[in-house]
Amino acid sequence: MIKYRLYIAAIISVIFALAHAPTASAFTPPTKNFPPEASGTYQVDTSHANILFSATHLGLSNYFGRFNKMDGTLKFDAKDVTKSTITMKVHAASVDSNNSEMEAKFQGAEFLNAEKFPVATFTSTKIEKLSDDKGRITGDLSLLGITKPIILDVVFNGYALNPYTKKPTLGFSAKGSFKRSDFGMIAYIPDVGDEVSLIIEAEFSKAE
Amino acid sequence: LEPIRYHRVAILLHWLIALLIVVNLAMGLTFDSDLVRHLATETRYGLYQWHKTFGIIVLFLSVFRLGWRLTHPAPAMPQTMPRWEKSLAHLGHIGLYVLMIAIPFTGWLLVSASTLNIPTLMFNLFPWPHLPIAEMLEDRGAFAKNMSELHELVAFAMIGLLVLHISAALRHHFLLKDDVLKRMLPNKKSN
Repeated sequence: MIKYRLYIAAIISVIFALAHAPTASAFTPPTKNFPPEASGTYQVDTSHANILFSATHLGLSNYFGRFNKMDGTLKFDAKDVTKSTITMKVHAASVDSNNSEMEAKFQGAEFLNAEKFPVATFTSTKIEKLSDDKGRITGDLSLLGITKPIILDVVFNGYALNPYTKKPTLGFSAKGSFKRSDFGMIAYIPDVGDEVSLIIEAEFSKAE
Repeated sequence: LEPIRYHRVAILLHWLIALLIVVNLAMGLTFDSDLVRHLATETRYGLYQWHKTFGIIVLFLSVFRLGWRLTHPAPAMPQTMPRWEKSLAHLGHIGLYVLMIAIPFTGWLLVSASTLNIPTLMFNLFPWPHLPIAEMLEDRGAFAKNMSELHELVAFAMIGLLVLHISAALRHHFLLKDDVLKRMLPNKKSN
């Protein structure tokens, strides 16, 4: 009996010692000097991606909303970032403005027409590097069946090994704007602004 | 035909799984405590990884143990036990088997569905595959949240059943003075 108790005590001690050992390496903050092996295909980390849109309401305030469902692929070229490409798909029905009545309106035919055009797409056509961490992405936005170029100003926040997912991760902040009337979305202009601003904060995880 | 004692494989499985279950319940109960909340993030990360490691081990040992139990007769319950008590004991044991499998399985489902994409690292070292359910789900986050609640619920059910199980074993040993507990204790002489 005594021997078994010793065994059990030993096992418990080992388990607790192992459990409390900080075996995961401490987080290395994002670097802007990514290694060449950072090149590859990345998917948007949907739990750390925010696509916000805003437009003025009667000139009194800026009304904000967001899209909750998206897919995105970034083909990152670490040697020459301007050779990278990005495609983002945003699901129109996932529009969220903290107001279900307004969301139904946005999903409806007047605005996003989510039933007929369930997905809006952005495909990069040109990437320019302005400085170490700033760039400009020109791309085609397909919305309501119409495709037109828009420009996103991008800040590259860094490259890091995400300590939670254990995946190489790239982080970006981007801003851009377009006229919704260019895509045939004319409802309530000018009470609801024609100019739609985009604020994007997103992380991209390297695909296996 | 029925043996007097449990086979040593059954005994080993019982105590090994018991130890892992108690450790994992203790971890589960303290994950939301101030004590754990204030640990360094990588220590917390490691604790979760060990919790998942023990859970996966419990899951596979329990499935093996269920197979073993179904193919190896257990020693008969004492003649003195009334019928209803025997039925209740069987029911309790069935419940324990269900929970031994359900608790880790709901945990595995929840980490597989989670939108956080945190890998399961066995022994906090090498990745363990997630169940391929993420693509099948309309709303991964909602599923993960529901599964997390179910995981907690079945864990609390296990705590309740464990209290009954341990009380019953102690009652047999100290009050009824039969060999119900002894036959599950490690003993070098027999077997």
